[in-house]
Parts: sequence; structure tokens; C-alpha cells
Amino acid sequence: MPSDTRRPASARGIVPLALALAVALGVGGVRPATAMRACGDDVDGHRTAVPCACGDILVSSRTLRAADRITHKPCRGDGLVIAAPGPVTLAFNGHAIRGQGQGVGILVVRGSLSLSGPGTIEGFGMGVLARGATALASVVGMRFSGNRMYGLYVDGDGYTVQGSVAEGNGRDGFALGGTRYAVDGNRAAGNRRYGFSLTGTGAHVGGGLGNEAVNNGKSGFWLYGMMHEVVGATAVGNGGYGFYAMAMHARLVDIHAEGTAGSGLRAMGMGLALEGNSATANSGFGIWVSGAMLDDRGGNSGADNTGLMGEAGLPPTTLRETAPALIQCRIGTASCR
Amino acid sequence: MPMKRVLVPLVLALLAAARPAAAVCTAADVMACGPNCWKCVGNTCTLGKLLTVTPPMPGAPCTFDFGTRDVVLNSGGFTAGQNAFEIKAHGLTVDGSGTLKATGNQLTPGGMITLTLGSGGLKVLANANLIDLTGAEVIGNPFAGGGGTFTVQSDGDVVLGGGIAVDGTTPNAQGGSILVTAGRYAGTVLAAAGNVTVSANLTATGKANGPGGMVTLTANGGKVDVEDRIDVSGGGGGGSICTTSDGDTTLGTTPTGGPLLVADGAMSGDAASGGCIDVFSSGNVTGKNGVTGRLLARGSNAFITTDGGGCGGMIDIEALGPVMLEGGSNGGVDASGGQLGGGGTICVSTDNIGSDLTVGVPLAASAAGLGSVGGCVDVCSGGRAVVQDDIDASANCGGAVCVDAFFDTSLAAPAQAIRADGGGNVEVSGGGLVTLAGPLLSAAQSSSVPGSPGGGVTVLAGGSISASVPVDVSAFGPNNGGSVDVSAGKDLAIDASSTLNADGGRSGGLGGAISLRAGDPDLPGNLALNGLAHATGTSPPNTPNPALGLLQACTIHVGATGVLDTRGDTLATNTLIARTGITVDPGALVATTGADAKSRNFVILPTGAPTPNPGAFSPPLAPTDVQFRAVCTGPNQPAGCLIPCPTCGNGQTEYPETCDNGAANGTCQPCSAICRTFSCDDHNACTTDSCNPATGQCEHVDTVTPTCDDHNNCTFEQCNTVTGQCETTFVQTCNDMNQCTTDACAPADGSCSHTPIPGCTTTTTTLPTTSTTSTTTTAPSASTTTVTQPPTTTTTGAAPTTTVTQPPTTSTTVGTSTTTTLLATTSTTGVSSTTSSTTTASSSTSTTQPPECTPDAPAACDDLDLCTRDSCLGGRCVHEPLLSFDAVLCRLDGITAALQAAPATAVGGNRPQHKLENAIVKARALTVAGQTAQGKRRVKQLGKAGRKLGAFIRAVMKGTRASKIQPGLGARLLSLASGAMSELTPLRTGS
Repeated sequence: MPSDTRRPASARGIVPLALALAVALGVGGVRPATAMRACGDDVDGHRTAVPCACGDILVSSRTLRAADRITHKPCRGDGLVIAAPGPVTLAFNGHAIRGQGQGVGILVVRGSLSLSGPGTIEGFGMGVLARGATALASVVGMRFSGNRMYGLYVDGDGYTVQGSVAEGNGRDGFALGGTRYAVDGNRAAGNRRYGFSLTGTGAHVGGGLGNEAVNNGKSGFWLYGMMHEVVGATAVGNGGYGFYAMAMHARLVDIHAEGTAGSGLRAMGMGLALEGNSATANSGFGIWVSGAMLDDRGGNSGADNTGLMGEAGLPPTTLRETAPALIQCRIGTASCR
Repeated sequence: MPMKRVLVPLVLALLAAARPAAAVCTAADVMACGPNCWKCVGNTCTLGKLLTVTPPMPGAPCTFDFGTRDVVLNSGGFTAGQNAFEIKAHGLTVDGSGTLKATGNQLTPGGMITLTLGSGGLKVLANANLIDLTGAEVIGNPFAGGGGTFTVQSDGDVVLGGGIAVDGTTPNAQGGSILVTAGRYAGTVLAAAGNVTVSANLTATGKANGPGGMVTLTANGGKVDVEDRIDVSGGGGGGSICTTSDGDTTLGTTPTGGPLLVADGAMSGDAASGGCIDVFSSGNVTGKNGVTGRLLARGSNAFITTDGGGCGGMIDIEALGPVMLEGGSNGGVDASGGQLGGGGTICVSTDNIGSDLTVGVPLAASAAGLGSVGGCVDVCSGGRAVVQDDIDASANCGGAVCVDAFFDTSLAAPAQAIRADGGGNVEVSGGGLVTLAGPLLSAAQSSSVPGSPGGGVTVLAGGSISASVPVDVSAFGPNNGGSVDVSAGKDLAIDASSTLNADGGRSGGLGGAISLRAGDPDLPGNLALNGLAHATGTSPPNTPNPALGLLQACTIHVGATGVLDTRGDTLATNTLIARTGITVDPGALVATTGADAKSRNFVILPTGAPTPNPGAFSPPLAPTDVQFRAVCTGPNQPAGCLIPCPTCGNGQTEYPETCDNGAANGTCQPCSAICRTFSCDDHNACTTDSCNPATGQCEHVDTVTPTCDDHNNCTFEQCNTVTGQCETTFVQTCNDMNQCTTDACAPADGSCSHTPIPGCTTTTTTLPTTSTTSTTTTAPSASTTTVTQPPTTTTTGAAPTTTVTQPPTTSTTVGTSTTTTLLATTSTTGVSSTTSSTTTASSSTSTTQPPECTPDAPAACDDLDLCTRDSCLGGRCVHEPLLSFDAVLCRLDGITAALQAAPATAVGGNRPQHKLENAIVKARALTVAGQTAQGKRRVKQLGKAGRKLGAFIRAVMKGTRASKIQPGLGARLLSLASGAMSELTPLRTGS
């Protein structure tokens, strides 16, 4: 945890509260075993560590260990509530926390969370909920699985999500929004709706390893908003679109969509620039981009896409006969160059 | 020390005295608040006084654990300021003037209230005080803080008849969170079912710059019913409303008739974008008494009117069962953007085949102003789709509207229009009939700015299409008309009230394209055109891509009121392809420009068919305009032939039919209703194949594998997909690789035992090594000698096989290796162990080959086997098996990779998949723990790992037997797991 001099004024103001929490718990009187408590590696500013149990409030950084009862059995409601005066790091250290279809695995109420894996959050109503400009700093190497709604739900600014996996969640694997966030090296598989739901402004999606969405119920990637940059995305076997974008002034590069029930890459909006994307063996169209001020920067291609339309999978005979290239790759009204 | 003993009680006493009289932080405090404050009758206790939640130190959380009591807050309750508190009870009722409050008001952020309740659930009655967790931004950190967090996690029903507010109170404060869950799961099993009912306002709004908050309603095993407004709008952007129910979801109406769900970018904000409304139901989604209130996620305008407004939000309504959104103008789903902004997205869908979808409210994802971009509206039905109200995704640059159904689709009055104006796209499709009864389908372009063509309207049907509808894809100014593509599997009827307009702009625009097909692509179907279809242009002479009209069917009938007009463009054409014949009634008109030899009305007919009246064509039909073709007798036989249109159901199989059983044709019959052979045979002898007559879909159930049980849990049997017979595909040998134990598998439970053999000792256990010496002579020949040393084990253990690929130069390799094969046979009556030893010597000569790798690029040697260490040795790839713990871990990692790569359906669903993965994660962790441990702890950890692995193997065997795990995957998992077990066992015993 940074020193006080590095904390914002507001954070300094909350310190006494955290200390109070710590005193109430670590030093204070007897509490019921299941009472909501504060926990963390340093709950009182004197390096007093309090292991975390289900429903506790994390007030300082913590590395989960065997002593943390939250790792022992499923939580009845919330996993941990983050209410810290400033940045906190929660390192899972290879542990898992589990829910019972209720509550939130990690609920960020106050502070700024860095979530560090390897670790698993599964079976809650929602895996992680972090709302607020600074609610989340980073997520690295985590796994979110089997949560009723979203695996990781974030609405914030400038956070990063890396090397994490979201599987089998009831709605979206990664539901990320806000501004200037970065998402790379993640995988979303078998989620009921979207693998990645990416909204807001100025997201950097990929750029390093890229992200992967496999076998999600609807679209693998669902991008919405403006001024996003996507570099490297792989979508395989998804039930809707492989990659869907409804965006303004966005750059879509090195997206590969394959074996999708719908179209591979479908993008709409204004000022979309596309480069080096490919779509193969999708049931719908390969690449279909419409809107104003489209920029085909080349290298976009489609192959073996069948062009079927609608729920019943009907063939667009006229298009097949008059412009089959448009079934494979179409940007604006023309086939890709 | 004595002094301290005096001081501590004194301090505590002072602290206690400092707290207000009604200050509480525990259930005990509450129970001690006096007889007029806390009364119990039986198991129900009533709190009649307002208590202040006051932790011993400011900011600490308080827990009121009332155990199994039902608690009623009547004229009393809790107020906590910005503190956090939790109430635990069997049930909680917030009754008349009952209070739950944790508000920071205008000064501090809201607090946190968590209700953890049993099957008694939560009831907030209408006469309760507002549950208030409103709050302000954090001073000095304006975008932190705001409304608080109200969480309900209940085993029983949650009825919210009184209001809840978690609004931000200051300009930058964001709305808080209301997170409600009723019902609970224990693993994959529903432990408690609960419903959520909302009949009072829930608000989580932000002010001028603050984003809206979040409201989630989850009914595990139950229903969600929303009967009053939920508002998460914010000047900094709309928030999120998410509902999930295992049962039905009711989206009703508010008592005042106002909007039901609101996630607007508030008008107080500057170009605020709409938020998110996400409704998912495993049952149905319906309104209340046929009406659903408005759902809003609109963007707001910018303060400066020339700036772009906010974008519309995202509204998703999805159900496994039917969805009915009704109520006409009393309802509506609106994700439109602010002025000059972008429209949002609306998706309404039913997932199960046969689940119908009715949209009887307007859907809007539009935007207005120059530079605005239309949104997207998807209406996707697994059954029938009925649209009875307007849909609009229009903008300066039009968006997209899709109405798709697995079966029939109907667009009907009182809907006025389905629009994606601005040159967008409208797509309507149905696997069965498509009825276009009234509403305009429009993707027209009203901008005369160059580069603004008309859009596209596509209508597809597996069955027939009947259209009494205007369609408009026209353009303005110099812009080109769009395209109208209507294609029916059976008949297509365009009635006299229909107008299909694909005209280009009047200032030089090309006419668009109109394509009308019946019997598409090779079915019998007739086209009747009685309406107007025009794609006229004004383009300069010889402009490419001119207007075109296409009519194709078995029989084309252009009625007296029918018009196909592509005049204007000098190269425009009409083409009529009739597989049976053409009738053009007097008064009808088929017209194109005719100013160029290429601009004609072309007619293609089967040989011998009569030519239609030339006078109905403009220019008049000339003999060279008519082309006669042979009728096909097979696929493209003869070349260029016309596919015939035989009568399906006459009992005669005629091309392109593949069968015709007369009256016996139909759904799920060997011959389908369109005279195509139908079979659900998946060519898997293990499955029973059937057809569901309700859906017409094939279903395949493996009925054999579940019976494959030889009552021996040491073996795994499954059905052979070729023979349909059970066969053993896996045998648990329990081989611990220890010569001094007798290995046995217990058929009853598949557990392994390793009984020490008296008097047997293992003298040494030296891990096998491989040494390589090379002697290279000068070119042109080289000699490499490789010697693989046998493992120095006196009783001999298995020597890992090192695979060495061909040397890069001409060489003679003499290798000597000792391989010991262990054969462990077990029986229930006795133990026998057979050891055989084989010594092989080999000599080989190979020809010169280029080096296949270099030491600085060993990646070239990657054999994609996690359990080998790949390296480049003397230009050759060496794949050395991993040993000891590495050999275990690589296999466990391989299992994890295989499980993660497999779709959940391959292992019986998400939860089984996670369970299996978790088992391996645990086994791995135990293995790692054992690796670093010593002595008994090591044995203990590895023993646990082995048991975990054994349980995994049994689970996989069981799952595969029950056809829950795909056979191929199951075999792969078993192979890896048994390999890991084999490697692990000697580590456990220390041998």
C-alpha cells in the first residue's frame, strides 16, 4: 500500500475509517463467527493481518492463504466487499472462492482493486462488480466461471484485464465498460450470451496476445461505443456473431472469426477502419461492414462462409448469383480489396 | 500492569457512555433496547424504535444476527449514516413506518445494507419508509462515492412494495447499487427457490455528471415481476438494470403509466449515453394484463447543439420461452441516441425452438441530425415472430433492423413502418410463411449529399410470402437507389396495394435493384406481381451498375395492376425467368429504358412454352429478347437448363424431388413436405434417432452407452459407434510401477490397492539418463554415435523412451537400450507378477538430410507434447519424456487444457466441466505441495493427490458411460489421468 503522502486527500480521509474497522475486528470485542468483519494483510496500519471469510470487508491488501476461510466452502452471499481507503491488491495465490448463486464474488464499493491470480471466482450471482472511475486497477490471471450473470463486470476508467478466463457464466464472460481500459490475453468460453461485452470509449482490446472467444451462446465479442482499438481477436464457434461492433471511429485489426452460427465479423457505424481481418467457415456472412466513412485498409478476407440469413438459415440466392464476393467480405457496398 | 487493568475497563466504560442511548451494533444490543422497542411473539419479533447503527468505532461494520427469527420493522428500524451493516434473519418485513437507512445525504457517500435472509424472505410494504442509501461524492475525489449499496440475498421471496433509493445526491455522484437475489443454489442444485416482485420505485440515479447506478434482480428457481419504475439514469450516462429468472419474468406497468425501466443518459448531462437493460428469463417474458411499460435507454443531447449527442444504450430481452411485449403506445422500447448521436441496440429474442415472439410496442434505436448513425434492432424468434408496432433504426446513416423467425414471421397493422432510413438495412425472414401486411419497410435515403445511397430490404422465407406492403429504398439527389430482394421457398404474392420503390435520386442517381423470386432455389413456387415495382434512374449515359429488375419463379404472373419499371438508366435491364411459363395480363407493364441494345426486357422460358404478349413490354418484346431452354433432368443436365416444377405429393418422384410418397409426405416423414428425403440418421449406431414433430428437428440419444456396464468399476465401457455394441475402452490397471507391490483394482468401487510383497526390496532407483557422444568427421561423410544408457535399476523400471529423429548427416547409429515391460496381472484370489525383459540392439543407416533444427532455435522441435522436453541436439530434434513430478504435472496440465478447449456440452454442461477442472486443479496443487514437502507430509499430500485423481478418473468413466462426456474426450482424459496416476504412484511410495 502506498504511503499516506501518496494517497489522495480523500483516501487519507478514509484511513481512520479503515483503522476503525480493523480495531473493531482484529482488536475489538467478540463478534459472531459469521459477522461481517474487516480483513486484509494490514487492517490497522500495524501489519495486523486478518484472514478473510465470506462477506467480509477487505480494507487492505491481502494474499489469500489456507487461513482464509473464504477459500474453504461456498459463500452464502457476497464473497468479499472491497471498501478500502485507496488501492488494494487481492492476490488469490492459487485459491478459489465460490458462491451459491447469490451476491457478488468481489464487490468493490470503495477503493481501487488490483486483482491478481491465479485464482477462481465461481458460482456467485456475479463474479466481480466494480463500478466507479477508480474502482478497478487491474485483473491478472483470474478465472471467472459459472456465475449467474457476469463473470467480470466493470465500469471504470483506465483499468486493465489480462490473462484471465471467463467460462460458463450466465450472461457475459467479460462485461467491461468505461473509458481507456485495456483488455489483452483473455479467453471467454461457453458463456451464455457474449464472451466479451465491451462498451464505452477508447478501449484497447488486444494489442499483445489478443483475446479469444470460443463457444459462447451469442456473440464472441460485442463491441459498442467509440474510439476503440481492437488488435488481435479470435472468435471460434460462437452462437451469434463472431465479432460484432456497433461503434464510431474504431480500428479493427487482426480479427479472426471462424465457425460462427451467424456472421463472422459484423460491424456497423461510422469511421470504422479495418485491416487484416479474416472470417472463415461461418454460417452467415464472412465480413460485413456498413456505415459511413468506412476505411478498408486491406488484408481483409473471407472464405467458406455460407451466407445464410435468419434464424432458419435461408440462402440469399440473389446475392449469391450477383455478387458472391460480398458474402465472403463486404465493406460498404463493395467487396474487400 | 495494575494500572492497565484499571484503565482498560475505564476506557471501555467511557466508550460505551459516549454512544447514543439507541446506538446498536449487534443483535444483542437490539434485543436489549427495551420492552417497547423489541417484542417477540413466538418466532416473530418486532422492532418498534428507530435505532442508530453505531459501531464501536466509526466506519466499522455491524452485524445484526437474529438467527432464525422473523423480524418486523414497525415504526422502527435502523439508520446508519454512511456505515455498513448486515441483518441476518429467517425473514424480514419492513412494515408501517419501518426504516432501513444508510444515507450520506448531501455530505458523504451512502452506506451499505446487506440483508441475508432465510426462507422467510423480505417484504417491504408500501407504507414503509423509503429505504434510503442516497449519498454524495467524496470530497476531493469527485468521481468516487455516491449512492450506497443495498444487497438482498434471500432464500425466500423478495417483495419490494416500498421504495428504495441509492441515488447520487451531488452533481458528480454516481448512483449506487441495488443487488437483489431470491433463491439459492448449492453447487448445481437449487437449494431454495425465490421470486422477486417490485411494486415500488427503485432508483439509482446520478445527477448532472454522475453516471447511473445498477439494479440487479435475480430469481433463482423463481420469477421476476416488475410492476413499478426502476430508474438508473444519470447525467454521466445511464446505468444498468439486469434481471435474471429461472422462471417467468413479468415486465408490467407502473401505477402512473410512466416508464417501467429507465437507463437513460439523463437530459441534465452533456451528451450522456444510454445505459443497459438486460432481461433474461428461462421461462416467458410477458407484460401485465397484456401491457409492458416503456423501457428506456436513451442518449441525451449535447449542451452545444452542434456537438454529437450521446449514444443510445443497449436493451436486451431474451427468454427461452415466449416473449410478448404488448401495449402499443403505452409501452415501447427506446434506445435512441441524442441529437447527432448514434442509435443504440435492441435485441429481443426467444431461444427455444417453438417459442414465439410478439412485439406489440414500438422499438426505437434511431438518431437524428447530420452525421447521426442508426442503431440496431434484432427481433429473433425460435418460433413465430409477430410484429405489430413500429421499429425504427433510422438516422442520417441508417442502422439495421432484423426480424427473423425459425417458423413464420408476420408484420401486421397497426404497425406503420419498419425503418432503417438513411440507407440502412431491413431484413425480414422466416423459415415458414412470411406475411407482410401493411407496415412500410423502409431503408430509404433522404440525404442528397453524394455518397448516400438507398439501403437494402431483404425478405426471405422458407415457405410463401404474401406482401401488401410499401417498400422504399429510394435515394435523393445524385445518389443511387437501393435494393429490394424478396425470395420465397414457395409462392410469392405482391398484391395491388404494394409499392416497391428503388428509385435513384432525381439528379443523376442510378436506379436500384429489385429481385423477386418464388420457388427459390429449386422448389415449386409461383410469383404473382400485382403491385408496382420500380427502380428508375437518372444516371448519365452508360453508367455501370444500372437499374435491374429480376422476376424468377415457376410461373410468373404479372397482373393487370402489376408494373416492373427500370427505366431511366441507359443500360437498365429486366429479366424474367419462368421455369414453367409467363402470363402478363392486359394493363400490366414490364418496362426498361431500351435506348441501348443491352437495355432490354429479357425473358427465359422452358422450351415450348408460349411467349407472353409482347405489347405488355416496353420496349416491346423482340424475338431476340426471348430465350428458350431445356428443362433439367438432373443437376444442370443439360447445361443451362431450367429446373422443373413438379407437383409434390402426386406420388411420383420427379427431378428435383428426391422422393414423393403422396399423402404420406410431411414433417418428420421419410419424405418431407417439399418432397426431399428426410432422415435423422446420424450414422451412429449407438444413438436412437428421432424427429420431434413439433419442431421438425432431429434428436439423437445414445441409448447404448448407459447400458454398458459390466459391473466392474475397474473397467470402462462405452458404445462403439460403428457396431453399436458395448466394448471396454479403458482398464484401470493400478500399476504403481513398483515391483515390490501387488497392484489390484477393486471392481466394486474402482479403487486401487498396492500390497507390499514380503521380502521384496528395490535396491536402487536412479532416474534414467541419456548420454550422447558425437564424433563428426569432415565432409562429405560424418559419423554420429549415440548411446542410450539403460536405467541403472537392478529390478529394472520402465525406461522412458527418448525419441531421436534422423541425424542430419550420413551416419551409422548403433544404439543399445534396455526396455523393461511390466505386465501386472491381478486376480481376486491371488497375486502374480510377471516381469519380462527385452533387450534390443539396433543399427540403422540413414541418408544425408539437412539439419532440422539449430540449438539457437529449439522451438522448431516442439512436438506439441507437453510431456516431452524438446531440444535440438546435433541438428536433430530430441523429445525427451519428462520425469518424476514434471511427468505428472504435464499430464494434469494436459487434462486442464483438454477440458478448457472442449465445449461445455462435451462434458455435460458448465458445472460438470468446472467440477472436473477443479478436481484437477486440486490434484495439481496437492502434487505441487507434495513435491516441496518431505517425509510423511509428502506422502500425505501425494496420497491426497492420488485420491483426487482417482475420483476424477471415476467421474470421467461415469460421465462417459452416461453419455454426458463425449467418448473421444473421455478417452483422452482417461488416458492422461491414468498416465498421471502411473507417474504419481511411485512418487507417493518414494520408490
